[in-house]
Amino acid sequence: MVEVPDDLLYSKDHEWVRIEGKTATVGITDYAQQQLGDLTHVELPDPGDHFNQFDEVSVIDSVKASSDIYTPISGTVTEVNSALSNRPEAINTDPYGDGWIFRMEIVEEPEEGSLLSPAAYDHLIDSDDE
Amino acid sequence: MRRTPLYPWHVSLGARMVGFGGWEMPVQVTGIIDEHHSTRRAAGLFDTCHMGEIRLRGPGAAGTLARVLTRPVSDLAVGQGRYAMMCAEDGTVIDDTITFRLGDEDFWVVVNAATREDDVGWIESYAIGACDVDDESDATAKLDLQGPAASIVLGLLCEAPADLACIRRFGIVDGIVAGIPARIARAGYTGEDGFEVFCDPSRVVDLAGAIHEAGESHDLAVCGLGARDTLRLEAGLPLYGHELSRNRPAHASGMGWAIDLNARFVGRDHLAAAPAEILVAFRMQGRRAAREGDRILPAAGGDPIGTVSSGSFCPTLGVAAGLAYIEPAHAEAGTPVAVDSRGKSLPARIEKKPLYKRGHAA
Repeated sequence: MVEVPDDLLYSKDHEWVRIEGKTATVGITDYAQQQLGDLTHVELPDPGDHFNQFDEVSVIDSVKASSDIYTPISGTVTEVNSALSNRPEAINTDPYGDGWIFRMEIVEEPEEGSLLSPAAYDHLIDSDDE
Repeated sequence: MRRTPLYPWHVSLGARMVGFGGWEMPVQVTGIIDEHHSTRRAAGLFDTCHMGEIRLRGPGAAGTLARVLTRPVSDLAVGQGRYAMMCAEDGTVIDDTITFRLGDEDFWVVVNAATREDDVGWIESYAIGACDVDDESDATAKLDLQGPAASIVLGLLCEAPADLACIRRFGIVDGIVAGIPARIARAGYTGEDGFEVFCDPSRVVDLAGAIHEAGESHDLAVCGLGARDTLRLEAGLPLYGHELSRNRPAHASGMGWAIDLNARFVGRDHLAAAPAEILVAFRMQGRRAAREGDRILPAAGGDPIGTVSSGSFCPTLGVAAGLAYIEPAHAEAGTPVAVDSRGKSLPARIEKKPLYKRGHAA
């Protein structure tokens, strides 16, 4: 039921990151969007903003709650998914594709063990559900 | 955590269950926004079995209720109901209720799930004359069927009464729905026309199934508490524990129409002076929601003037909105304000309640 693509890394806060060379693309996981329900607003960071790993980057609103989004990686924001301003529900329908939230230029590789492998993330959400 | 008899039914429909007032209830079945729109456009079916029903019978019943409710029910016709609050001695709110008159000396008080045990004790402590107070909650299941198609859907199943039009708003009759003895009230919590249907807990799975099936061709959605919350918020209806509580006097809610200051009820003497803050609606400029507890400031800056009691994206309005307690000097509709939410100042405007009114453009 819950999709956990095996080409991504994950945070304990349910963000995913796709690392391609010096570029990191970040979003929230399928599990996270299912837990949050219908998303209604995404506060996007500004390009040029710099964040350290696990800093609060933005706020995501579902009907029921507002939640912080933390960056799984240290870097400088290069691009944001502005289509989410009008269509936040893209995160519900395609969390790993059209629902990406921001891209960063990686300034520092994540510390070994600070992010979860797909298998480890799978295990985390399994134990969350119990 | 307690479960209603419909718990397995919710799970079979794929609902997501959450804790609410000590009960494990569905927060959503398909999705809050879809369920919300279905209820406004067609019909929504809600499990409200968790709510409480307290019966008062005897020559002292009307007199007892006159002491504990913010307006009397002694003038109600049999088969009619009335909204009122229940106050503590200090004028703050113990619960909000709809009381139906089932007979001359027979009243039925529908109360919130989390408060019902306290309510029973409170009513018993103020009982006068010969008055039996019975908590019938465990023996009573309840479904809310709401929306413009509610009367059509229920009409398809209703063997008695022959015509639902005989039940006026806040009216209640005993009938038979899908072969199941049921008590049918025309009331609800969504801002739409609709019914609250009470039956024996052993029959409620069959009743819910029958309504669900009859509603299929009328675009009925089975709804969770998430949609119930956004629907009531747009309709400006208070939720106990948020707008109403032991922290604020009953008249701060702006529901002066539900308080009869000529009546001699518990807490009345504390409701004469103007409250320090009053309940208003507000609308955000965008889709980002303000949340309960967020402070409200003047648009031009300055000290806080109020606090959000409920806030959410409101699907029918298409923007975020909510209810808030605010100083009367800033409470006029149209007043621009700023909401301090998670470190960000969000522009908003005070609005007249309700934000949504049936038959009017949002």
